[in-house]
Amino acid sequence: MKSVHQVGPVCALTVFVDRYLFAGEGPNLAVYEIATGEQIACRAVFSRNKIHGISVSGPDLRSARLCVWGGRSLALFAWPQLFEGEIDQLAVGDWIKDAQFSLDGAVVYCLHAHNVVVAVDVAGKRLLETRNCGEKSILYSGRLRVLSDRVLVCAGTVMDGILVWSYDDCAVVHRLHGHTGSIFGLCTSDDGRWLVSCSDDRSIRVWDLGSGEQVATGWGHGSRIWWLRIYAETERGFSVLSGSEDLTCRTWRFEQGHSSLEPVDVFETHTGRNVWSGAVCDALGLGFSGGADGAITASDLAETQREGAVSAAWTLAQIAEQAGAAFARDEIVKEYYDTGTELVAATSRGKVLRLRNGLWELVLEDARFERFSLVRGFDTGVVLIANKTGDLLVLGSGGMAEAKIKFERGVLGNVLTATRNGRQFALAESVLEEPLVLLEIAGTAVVSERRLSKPAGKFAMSAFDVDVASGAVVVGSRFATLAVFPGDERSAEPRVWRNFLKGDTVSSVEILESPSLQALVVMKDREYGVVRCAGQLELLQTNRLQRGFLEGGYFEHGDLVLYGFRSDTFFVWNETKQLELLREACGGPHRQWSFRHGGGGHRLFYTRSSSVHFRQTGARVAPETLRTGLHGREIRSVAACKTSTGHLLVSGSEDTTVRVSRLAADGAVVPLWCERQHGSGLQAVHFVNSDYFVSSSAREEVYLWKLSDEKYVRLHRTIRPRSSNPETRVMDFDAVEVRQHGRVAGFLLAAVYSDSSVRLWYYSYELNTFRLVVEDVYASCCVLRVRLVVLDAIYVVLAATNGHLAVYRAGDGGGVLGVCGGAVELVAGPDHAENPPRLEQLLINQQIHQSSVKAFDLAVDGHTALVVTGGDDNGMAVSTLDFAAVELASTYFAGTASSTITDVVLCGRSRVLTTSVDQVVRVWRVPQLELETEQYTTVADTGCACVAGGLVVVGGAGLEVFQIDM
Amino acid sequence: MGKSSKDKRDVYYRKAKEEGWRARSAYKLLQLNEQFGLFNDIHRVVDLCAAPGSWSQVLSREIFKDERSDAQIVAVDLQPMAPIDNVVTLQADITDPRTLDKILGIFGGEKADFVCSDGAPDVTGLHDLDEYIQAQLVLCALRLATCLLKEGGTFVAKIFRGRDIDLLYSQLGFLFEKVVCAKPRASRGTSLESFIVCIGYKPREGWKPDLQPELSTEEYFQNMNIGRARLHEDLRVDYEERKVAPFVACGDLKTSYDSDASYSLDTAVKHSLDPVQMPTDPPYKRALEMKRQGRLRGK
Repeated sequence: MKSVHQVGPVCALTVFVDRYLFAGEGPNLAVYEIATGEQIACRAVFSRNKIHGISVSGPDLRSARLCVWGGRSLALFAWPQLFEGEIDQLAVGDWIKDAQFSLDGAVVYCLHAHNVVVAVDVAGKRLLETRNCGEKSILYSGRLRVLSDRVLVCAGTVMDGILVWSYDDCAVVHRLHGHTGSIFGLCTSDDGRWLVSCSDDRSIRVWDLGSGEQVATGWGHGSRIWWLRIYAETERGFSVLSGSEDLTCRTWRFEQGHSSLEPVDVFETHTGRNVWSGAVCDALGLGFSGGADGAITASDLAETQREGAVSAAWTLAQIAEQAGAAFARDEIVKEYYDTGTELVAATSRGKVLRLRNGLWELVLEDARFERFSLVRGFDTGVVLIANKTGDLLVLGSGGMAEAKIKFERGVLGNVLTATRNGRQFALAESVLEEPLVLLEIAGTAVVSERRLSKPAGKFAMSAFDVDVASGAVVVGSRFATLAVFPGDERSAEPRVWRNFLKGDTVSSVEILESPSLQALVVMKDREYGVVRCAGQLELLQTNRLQRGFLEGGYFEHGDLVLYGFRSDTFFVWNETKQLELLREACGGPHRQWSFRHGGGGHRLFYTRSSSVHFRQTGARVAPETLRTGLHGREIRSVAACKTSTGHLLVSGSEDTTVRVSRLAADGAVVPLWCERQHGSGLQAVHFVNSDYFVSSSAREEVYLWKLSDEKYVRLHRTIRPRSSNPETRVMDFDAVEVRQHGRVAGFLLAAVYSDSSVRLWYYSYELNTFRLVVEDVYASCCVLRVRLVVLDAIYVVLAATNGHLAVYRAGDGGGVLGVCGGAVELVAGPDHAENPPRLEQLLINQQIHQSSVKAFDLAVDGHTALVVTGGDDNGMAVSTLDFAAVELASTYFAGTASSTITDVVLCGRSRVLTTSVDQVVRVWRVPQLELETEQYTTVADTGCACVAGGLVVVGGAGLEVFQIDM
Repeated sequence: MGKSSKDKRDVYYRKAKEEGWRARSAYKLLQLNEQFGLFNDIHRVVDLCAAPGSWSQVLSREIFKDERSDAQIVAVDLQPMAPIDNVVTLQADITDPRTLDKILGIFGGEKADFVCSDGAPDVTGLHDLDEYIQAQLVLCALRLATCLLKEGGTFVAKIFRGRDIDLLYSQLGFLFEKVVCAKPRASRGTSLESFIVCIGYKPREGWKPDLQPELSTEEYFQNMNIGRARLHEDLRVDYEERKVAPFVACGDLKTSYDSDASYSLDTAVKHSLDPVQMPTDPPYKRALEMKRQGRLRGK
């Protein structure tokens, strides 16, 4: 077994010579070039331990000496050893908290968890001496600062504040009290004058190491703060980057003489829980963070000072003065459109203004556009201004044209615009029920006009796009409605779908593919989807964000980007990579705003207290992500399904998300989607077949998902909870196909619950419904796993926390199910039954393990099955289950792991793979249970595994992929 | 974005409230006792990391079922604890050598029959660190236990059954006749938590208990020679023996509840109960107050 890919907590980051980022990715040391984001080196340093810290010494990369530590392990090596040769694993006899090179690089000082500094000769890799200050209390954090004249030790204790002592004379310099609880992070300024600290109390404190006084305090994080980095040091003060359990990194500024550490910025670039590590590149003004989700991201700490960055605001008085236009007392800037280079705005009194190069000018004044006017535009820079009576001003670079939109009966209610392949389309809507008017505008001239019959009933268009190739028009409206107007049939009625997604207003529609009319649809109430609407409406992809309102979305370099408002901010979010690209505190949702993206930059105009604000992000100096993450909390279940290019990997986690990723043949995991439909931590995910998979969690959630095009996933159907107790978890389930009249009609799903319930559901593909066909209660304990076996009858095999394996004959579900030729047949269409029949007969109920049977797998051969179980009791059992003789013969093997066995996967009938909390993946020969091979995994809380071709995927606090010969 | 997926109000939590235990962990000790008969014929008992005091409550109720009992129970914790019948509570640091003297003082210089610790750190979520800290907590308790226990005495402590627990099993094997990993049914199957039950203390030959303040727990055990890795001149990594301790599940399958199961509210407690143990002052209390007042700043 060979580890080929891993993603998990990133616990160490260090910047070297302002150009390189060294990262601890589990046991692997990876080196990135900051400017390009390119990984230039990666190798495993430790066999068991995760890297918790990295120090680098030397003038450049080639002559760099590295000190890497994690847990009790230490490694000292030179740069070339990252590419060839062995790296010695060393130890200093205890858990290392910090290690720093002496200024000449000859000595490494290691501070360990019992407040002892171990000095090591770098060249000889030998112990020089150990020193302590006489107090060997246990430390949560520690920081060494090597100065020209001394070495300062800052030790963060569990209960007793911070101990600052001098390595040179072993004397305690300061005892810093002020925090409550354990000290989790410490950092000193370069000159050793200042110390910052964070603790369980969620505050950051600044200490003057000269006087030992606490000089400033900062509050803001919503959970525990894990680490701090000082940067941007000046005569008067410094900045701090902090990382927290609350998923954010924050920046702070300390100025001498101020008792408050001022909060500056917030960055949210991780998911799940905990940002474990951080580093700052002072020269480039970049902050790096590593999360429990395995992501490494770069936040721009100096974004507002970058080239092109603008942050400006104009009051009405300033606008009037600059434009040389007298505003009436009640006159306000009502509508505007940002062309990307200039803003065109209309006031409530019919003035049209232009903001160009930071200066406002008056373009024209036209009384026809008083009170009601709409300002829209195209990517080409052409801007439209429309009024109720349909007067249209078209402003282009070459001048202005006028046009008229005529409705038969009503006045104009709304105009929307879309730019496609450089072609400009405007869609206008009357306030009454009459046809929409689609204009194409070339330059500033209207070149064509087309009437589109408005769908009957409630319809108020809110977004649209045009398929230039076919002429088809896709219009989104309020009331979650989508209308498609075919291109070639001018008079044809549109096809209309109502409530095709949850929510109300469609906030954006963008056609991705022609002629299938595959489109990205974004709903204001957080839902988004990819639909195909050339024929019948097909939902390919559905998902939602958990917070905020979505105003739009787009694909950029293959990543889906969504934007909208959330509490008091406007946000831009990379949904594929799961990180925030922009957060602008704008006071909350606005009626008036304009957002543009392109070239990696963002422009946002918004009106706040009648002032017009403008924010343009500066040029990026480095990519936002160096490494993409996965789940931010423990993965509880994984499943894989073969595709034409490799596998699709589905993972369910305690972070309540289901992730769908591509698993490449070389083991690389590329995240596609992060589904947020579940409301509680996941218990199980399994494929039904290559088109469908099911996930289950607490609150009795059982969700059926449909895959499309080997890359899209949508929530297809959910099962309504049966019990009133929301804490009931659906622990596991299994599915078998059900046939009718010789073809597959659906599947039978057996689900087991934490309240000991066992339920069989029949799912019909045609009706898209789940019907309960059997319901029973096993005992009073939690049932953990279930498998369905179809022989002469349907058998349910289950395992529970009582250490038992139970076998039921399921029965026919009240005349609904039959068995024919080893397959389940649908005999009669099941009706809804409030009281379905119970399982027919409990055949076997036999204790195999002392406590929970955590996992089992079985392989059926004739009327017997080989069953392999793994338990909380560290043991395994290999059993023969004879369905005909109703016998279960088990051989129990104690102590097969030193901790709980969490998953069992049979690979054929002769081998079985197990995962256990002792972090060892083992392959056994069965039935004799001979250990064939074992492999340590750095995935802690190892909880699940699946086999995908020649790959084994192991999940827990992270995910690791192994290559295996089977 | 994460919603909590943990169910804190399981059946043992509700039962503990009903029956007046300060924490649901009381059932874990009761079930351990059921299995191992830990409380038979014991006179001097030390409960380490005792707050809020549920284990001391169990010790008190079970040992003093016999009203003539002359047993002495000392409960030690850094946190203050509400008084418990028949228990002497000591607010002290278990790493401080003076704590040993205080306990021995209470026992009139006699040694203890039983030392237990249900202590656990506030976990961070970084598994290797949490397991290390928990192991250190066990070692702190064990250090005191090696000074307090009479020969043949019993030591029980909470452990996390992680990747290095087999090292601890092996090392405990040097000090006790029998080392068992026990999992009470009251302890959730999804949690790494288990308990080591170490029976028959056998002091290391030629070694005298001596709690020197200048020695860290690590150094203390190095002098004891129980196979822990130590610091070498050449910084080599010691081979450390790993052993799997026998596993015993405790708590009767038929009569005890399953902590992983969801019981419907009808069969359990319908009415709301006040917490038995008032919440202690968390370190982040001030941060919570500031948040409530809208004073936690930031964008």
